[in-house]
Amino acid sequence: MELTSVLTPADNCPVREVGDGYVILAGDGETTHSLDGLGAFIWKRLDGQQDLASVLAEVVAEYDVPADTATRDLLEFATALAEAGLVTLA
Amino acid sequence: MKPPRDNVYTLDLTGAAVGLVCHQPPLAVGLAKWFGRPGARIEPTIDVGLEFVDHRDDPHLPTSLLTTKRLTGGGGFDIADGLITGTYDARARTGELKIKAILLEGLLMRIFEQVLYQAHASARQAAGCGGFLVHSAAVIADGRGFLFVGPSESGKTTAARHSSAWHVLGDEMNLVVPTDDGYLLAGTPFNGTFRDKQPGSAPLAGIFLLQQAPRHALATVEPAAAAMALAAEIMPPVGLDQVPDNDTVPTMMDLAARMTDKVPVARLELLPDPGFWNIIGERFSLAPSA
Repeated sequence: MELTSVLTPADNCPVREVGDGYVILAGDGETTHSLDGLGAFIWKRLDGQQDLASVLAEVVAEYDVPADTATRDLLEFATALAEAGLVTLA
Repeated sequence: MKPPRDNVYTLDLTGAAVGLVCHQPPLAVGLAKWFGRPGARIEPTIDVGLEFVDHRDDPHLPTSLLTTKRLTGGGGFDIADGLITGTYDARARTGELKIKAILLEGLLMRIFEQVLYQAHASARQAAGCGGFLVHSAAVIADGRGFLFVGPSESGKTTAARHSSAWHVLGDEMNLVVPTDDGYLLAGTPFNGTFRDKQPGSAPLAGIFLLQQAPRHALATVEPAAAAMALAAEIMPPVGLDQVPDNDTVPTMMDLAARMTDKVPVARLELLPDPGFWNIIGERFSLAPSA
């Protein structure tokens, strides 16, 4: 996963908004995942258009977090989403 | 109103009822003992015939009756390669179950109960009323209903055992029914390991996600995490003539999301003693128990 990566939600993964987060059902039809407010903030921007660098800029602007920490956490989060089958590379 | 039938044991499921028509009459008495209460004296929403059959094989006992269920056509179904077979006619609101007699042995009855969860779903669909089963312990305290949710070994029976100062509805499977201003929490006849459960219902005031811990504590939970945990404990609303499909889990997610939106959810860390009621009582301003 790199900052130039562009991600899009996987097909067949129903999403439910709960509070300021999301519950997402993986493609296996059984495993659910939850995203908190920050996770949901990022998820909304994985639209197949923005690359992760652009998402990172929005995260840093919105949240009080150092850029290097945000970069590491965003790449880990995006990798976890991909490994869970919730997103694909656009 | 039909006259009472001696061979029918009726399960009252708050808004819907399942009449278990026992083709072997002593079974109705046995069911009353198993469920720890006489059959309800209400008109069943659906009737399901019950017959336990002898067998020579040593059947595989599944952990889930849903994942091993297949439809055989014409309203027929087969669970776990013949462990339970049956039919259900939604229009006539009647069904028949043939169950291998091994499920009458001790705690294996709890596997048999699982097919009644499906009968419950069929009855609710027939009655056209909302409501769903949640794998949980449930207690009424100071007139308010509290749901203790978690997977096996998370502390549901512990919570029930240490709630004797209040009205314990059960430690295994309870009903949540939507109302105009929230939810009604109701007990069911279904068994866990806590046998002193009592019938009853109350407005649902709080939901606790259980976690055994070295101290009692209430902790906040992100709403999405709460909904995810709740969804995992909602019984799939799958009737006797149905199997899970692509809409089943999303439906459970929807039910959980709506509950999380309307009812306070917290993580309850608990020890095996009644002390957790002190922090619940403080949080919810409960009057002391009688």
